Amino acid sequence: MRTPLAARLVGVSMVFLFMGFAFRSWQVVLLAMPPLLFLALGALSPPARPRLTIARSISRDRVQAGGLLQVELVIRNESEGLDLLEILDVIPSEFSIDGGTNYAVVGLAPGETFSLAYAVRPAVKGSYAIGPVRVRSLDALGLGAEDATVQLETVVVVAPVLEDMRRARFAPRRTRPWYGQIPSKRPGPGSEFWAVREYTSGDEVRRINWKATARLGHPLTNEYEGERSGDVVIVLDARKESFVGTRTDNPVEHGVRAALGIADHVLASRNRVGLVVERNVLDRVPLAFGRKQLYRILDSLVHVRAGGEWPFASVAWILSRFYPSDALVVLISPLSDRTSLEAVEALAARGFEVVIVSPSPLDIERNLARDDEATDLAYRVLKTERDNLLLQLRRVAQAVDWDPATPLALSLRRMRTSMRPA
Amino acid sequence: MTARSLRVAPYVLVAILVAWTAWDVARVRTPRWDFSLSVFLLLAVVATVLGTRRWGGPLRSIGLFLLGLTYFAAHVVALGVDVVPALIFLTLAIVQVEAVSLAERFGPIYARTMAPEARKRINSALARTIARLGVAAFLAVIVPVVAADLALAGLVPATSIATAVVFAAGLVGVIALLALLPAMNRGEET
Repeated sequence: MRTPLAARLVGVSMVFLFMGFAFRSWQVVLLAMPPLLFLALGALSPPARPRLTIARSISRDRVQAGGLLQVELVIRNESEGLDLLEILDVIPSEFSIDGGTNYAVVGLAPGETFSLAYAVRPAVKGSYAIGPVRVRSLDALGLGAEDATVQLETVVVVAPVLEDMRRARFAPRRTRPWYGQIPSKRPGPGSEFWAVREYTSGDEVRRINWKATARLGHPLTNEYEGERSGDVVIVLDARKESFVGTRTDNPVEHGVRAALGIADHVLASRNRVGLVVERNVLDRVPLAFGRKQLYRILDSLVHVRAGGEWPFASVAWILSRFYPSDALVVLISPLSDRTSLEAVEALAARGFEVVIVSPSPLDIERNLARDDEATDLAYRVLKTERDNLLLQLRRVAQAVDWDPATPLALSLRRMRTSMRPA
Repeated sequence: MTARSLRVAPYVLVAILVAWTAWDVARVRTPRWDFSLSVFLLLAVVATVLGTRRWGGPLRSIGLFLLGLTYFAAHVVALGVDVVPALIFLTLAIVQVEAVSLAERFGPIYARTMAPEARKRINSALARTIARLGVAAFLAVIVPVVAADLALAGLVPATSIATAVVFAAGLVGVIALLALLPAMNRGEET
């Protein structure tokens, strides 16, 4: 394949040649020679078709968004000598190079190897493929080229950033029969004192309240407040209309971060967690305990991209169909449409306790907009509308207006009574 | 250092070409042509300057084309074609285009950090390319001059119509061969 430069040289040469004959000037004819000489010298060593063996290794196949991933590419030339070889390891547009290079131009003798090392930093969560490797063999003057693509792809899963929720107080109010960490307002296995009752056969000796027994003359036993677990269903609104802002800074991405943080926090205190994601499809992860469940939720969240035009009310249907009504529903939504109010009212009417975590699209949009009077006025009008909606929602649910620039734990701590332990 | 040199080289070369053309246009005293050539030169400079922008790729080529057109028009219509400077000008223009291509190819690599071993290999590839470009540029000036000398000295009679036709046919044949060579190579491989 000739490069465009070779075609231009041919063109220039022809122009001088014909002009020379047209003007009957040998000097002009002579000017046709330099481009031809360049072409001839380039053609002396035409580029060989590259046949390469390429191996790619990465430091890990799972990385957190913003984390560093080391990539090494080892290229071995299986063809004849490649005088000038351009190598490009194609990376997804969401990755940025952070040290080293994924592109090089080298010469490779037959059987020779070359190693290309670089580090990338993914900006957005998702499942990505690094590759293929594109190579181009060029002649000495870059006038001829032979392209080849080596279909070598390495899948990397980029997990969302995990919110630090250690300082958050977040637990379901209604509990289930199995043991957990939530005080259940019922006697049972636990650590907090609850009451004293008559000793019954089979009570553990260490539970006998000796002081009360001595005072009243018959054996009495301490009772403790049972600690149980509850169910939390996280509903993430990732519909197309929820997307406001940039690829990295938008309510859907922040919602994913919040969902993962809440899931981790709630699962760590031995509760069951489920997940519903409203995007192109309605994703559902059934309720379950433990670390494995966190990975299931993570795997589901990794693929979340804004899309779909579901009515918000479809969430109420899926929740009442697949999840128990005494579960705490954590609805993560920017509340971009007015139907969210009706949807939350419908959920509350079906007996669900609802907490709304709303990553504010207004703050995201304002950071991107110009700082002028009109923007400020528009922001204040929209903010008033949003505050009004949140006020109406707070009649039936707890609502947190979360500025994604601040830690989620801080916003959750500001939440009032509903999050108090049962 | 290398990255900066690669980035600067095309601009230096184009500045030389512009200065050279401007000097020649200034020497044109024909009232009919001096204004037209000045306008062409101005257009060439504007296109070249705009061509330095990220979006100005095609303008860069147009600028260089206009510059060459101005230079050769000035010589053909007013100053007369002087072979050696014209050959040097043309070769310099080709080298400028090659320098742009080199800067685009190697520039991004030098802008990044890399292992010393990889850098050494890339340096060696760059040095080899520059050396070949230098040799090609040297030959592009010398070979036509030698050919002209041979013709003028009468060693090769090149003044008859028949010789001119043979010479033209030879040149067209070489061009056609160079254009078809890659396709012929591919045919042999398959």
